[in-house]
Amino acid sequence: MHKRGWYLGVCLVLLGLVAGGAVAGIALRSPGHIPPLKVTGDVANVLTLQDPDNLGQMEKITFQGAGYRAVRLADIIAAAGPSADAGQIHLVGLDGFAPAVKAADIQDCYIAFTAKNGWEAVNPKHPNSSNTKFLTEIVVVAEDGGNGSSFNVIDRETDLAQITPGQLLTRPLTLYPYDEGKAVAQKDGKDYEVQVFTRRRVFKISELTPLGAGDILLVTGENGDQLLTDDSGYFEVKDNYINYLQPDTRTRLERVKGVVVRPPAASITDAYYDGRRYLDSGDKVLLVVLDGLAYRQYSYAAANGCAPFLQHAGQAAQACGVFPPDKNVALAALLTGKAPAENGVAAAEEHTLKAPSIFAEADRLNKKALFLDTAPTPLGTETAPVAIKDQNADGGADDELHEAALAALEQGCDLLTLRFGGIEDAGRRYGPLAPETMQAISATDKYLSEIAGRWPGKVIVAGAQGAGSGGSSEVQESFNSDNMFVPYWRLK
Amino acid sequence: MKISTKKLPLLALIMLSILFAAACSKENTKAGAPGPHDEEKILVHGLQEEDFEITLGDLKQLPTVSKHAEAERSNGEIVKVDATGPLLDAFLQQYGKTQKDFSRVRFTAKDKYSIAVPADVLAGRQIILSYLNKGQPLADEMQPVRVVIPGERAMYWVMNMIRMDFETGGGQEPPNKVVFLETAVKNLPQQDYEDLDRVDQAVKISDLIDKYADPNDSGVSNVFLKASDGLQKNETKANFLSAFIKTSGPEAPKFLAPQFPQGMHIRGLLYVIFGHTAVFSYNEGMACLPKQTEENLEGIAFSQIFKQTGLTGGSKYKFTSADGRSIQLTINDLGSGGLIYQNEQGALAFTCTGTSGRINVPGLLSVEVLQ
Repeated sequence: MHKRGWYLGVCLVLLGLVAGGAVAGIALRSPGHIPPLKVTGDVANVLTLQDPDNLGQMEKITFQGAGYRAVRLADIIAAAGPSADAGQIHLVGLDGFAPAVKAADIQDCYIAFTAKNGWEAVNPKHPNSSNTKFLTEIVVVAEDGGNGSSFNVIDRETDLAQITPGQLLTRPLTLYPYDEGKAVAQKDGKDYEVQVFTRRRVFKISELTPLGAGDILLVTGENGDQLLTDDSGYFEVKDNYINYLQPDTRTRLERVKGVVVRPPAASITDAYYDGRRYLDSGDKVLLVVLDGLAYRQYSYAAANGCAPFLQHAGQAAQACGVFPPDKNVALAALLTGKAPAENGVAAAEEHTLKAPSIFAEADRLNKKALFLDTAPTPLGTETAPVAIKDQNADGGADDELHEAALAALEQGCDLLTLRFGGIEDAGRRYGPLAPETMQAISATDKYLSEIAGRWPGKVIVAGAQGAGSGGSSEVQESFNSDNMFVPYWRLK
Repeated sequence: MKISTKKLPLLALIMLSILFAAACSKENTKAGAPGPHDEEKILVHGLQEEDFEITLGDLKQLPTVSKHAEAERSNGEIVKVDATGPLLDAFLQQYGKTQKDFSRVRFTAKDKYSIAVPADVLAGRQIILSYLNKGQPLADEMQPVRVVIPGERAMYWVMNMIRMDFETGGGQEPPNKVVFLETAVKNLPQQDYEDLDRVDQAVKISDLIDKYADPNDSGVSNVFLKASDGLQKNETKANFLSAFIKTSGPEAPKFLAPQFPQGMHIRGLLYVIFGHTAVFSYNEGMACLPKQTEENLEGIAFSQIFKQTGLTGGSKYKFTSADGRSIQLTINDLGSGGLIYQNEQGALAFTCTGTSGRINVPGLLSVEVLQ
């Protein structure tokens, strides 16, 4: 019994020592409140660092006679994942002091946390002015255009500005007090109010490119949102992306990809509205979708005599496309009249429409509709597409589509939709302006000439952006004047 | 049975581990499972004509979502939740509404803390009426519901929520004047407008607002438009004033502008609210609203104008004709309400029978609430 009690006593003492030691250790090591240190700019993952022990592999270094437990800056940057080739790293302090070091020279740069100086840059090989105390933000700045992460400003003709969030963070920005709202607390029968503002780092488009009085802007989000506005709103640089804010109307569009300045009124979505009213008026409608055909590409083809039918059938309107410039995303916008964020198809892998398409209108009006589609992964439209296959194995199904369309003409229908894929295939394989792509445009033009010539009603022809239309296979890179506009025709 | 004293420390350690594990493990609560706070009430204001109460138990009947959400506090601290509960939209769906139908929704807590969630948040965010966090019921001080809005600051995340106020009208005052489009456009310059492959007549909206409202009203930032097919839209003041209303031809009255894509055009425009002024299309109203007959005349009940536009109620009204003459009528003069109709000459007119007998207002241009 005596021995048992002794064992129990020893156990309890040991337990107490362990628990007490842990508490004492925490109390001794904790420097109290640790302010957050953010890693922002041109990074895939914004980091908020608040625990020095969770930064990465700690190293003991000595600098100017003082010892530090520090983590290599390169490890932190790697964890954030630069979204482009980093050019500079800005080490921003609490007082706005912000030295920039070359990203290529940070092998011996460290970040430490000390009770005296908070987060601190420790750069033994750099000039002393690089050692920011009370560090609040590490901004990674891309060396060039940002490899797809850039914010783009274009007009109908040119790419006006291309700049990354990191690059914007190193430019003069306005701190705008954005009104978040009013909170009220009632105490002792009295209302105590607080109006809450958040200070946003903002700029205006006119700071990037000259604008004329009354110029209209089409703001486009990464997920296909579109907003037509003027220069009265602001663009906020938020960590590693850009938001649009209009404080007066409380309009907000998150993660802006780019802005079209002075956009054309015509839009790829016009096909839905034109088709709907033609059907409403009792006209038969032939809707032709040319995957992968952009406006500039068509202009080049027309100038080189590759599209004689389209060139002489009517003036091609330069119409705004959608983002991302993918053929299914474009088709969904074209068939529903809605931007990608509204119609449910905002990425190449999405196929389910959340908005009624022109086929629903045809159904409502008891019109017979037929959709002949060469694409291997069709959209889920109300009228199921008839898949047209490359039966003669000549590398494309456009010739079979041509035959099927002529057969459909014989059967008669009110809404005939044809989707050609040859231009997209050639553009993707050889380039948007390659001779092979021009040949594909020429072949499609010939098919169209015959089909449209025999169609007893209205004809709508629209290009649909694709990987082959914009000179880049990287969708992210494709918010540019080459790929954001498509040709659009209303014939007859 | 005698236990060897040598094994006592091991036994103690095992028992401690079991106790520790038991204390730490909590089974996840299933969404919708009954709980002790199910009878707690939440007052709902502004959704129906009368205020009404719902309970946490009612909310548990709705489909739930589970979302991880983080919000930053001013000290940089990140509040993290794994919220489970119905979306506000799922609650509103029962009443044929969505978040986007409201200009503000105010959530109030038991301690009288309240905050109004503005239109931009309502338009772009999911709002979770959460009753579970990380699979566990909320702590007592957060019951019955914690509002969680992923992507927004924690100031909007009202815990202990007991009241929801739904507001419409962009936070602006309701209109106190209604102008009838068909009469108004007769006094405005009309111009040819090419639309739908034909040329029709259109008026500049800036002319319409210059004449019948205050274009410089600094309180106007958004303009509300409603079509006869039910489409509702807010347009910026700048976009609105730069546009036209097509007054003849197919789809008229139609809001449109050459610089707008067709997706921004609104066909069959029923009414517009610009600040304190509503512009109402009688013809479109006749196409989509219930018709009323009075003394063999068919038209739209005056009360429908209130119902549609949210026109402020009053006890005295000024009815103005196209020729500038006006008459002031009290609520008693209106009798059962009155009728707006199209007379044999094709002009709009108003008639009512009240305490002053039958009153007719030919060429009806506008009605203004005076008191």
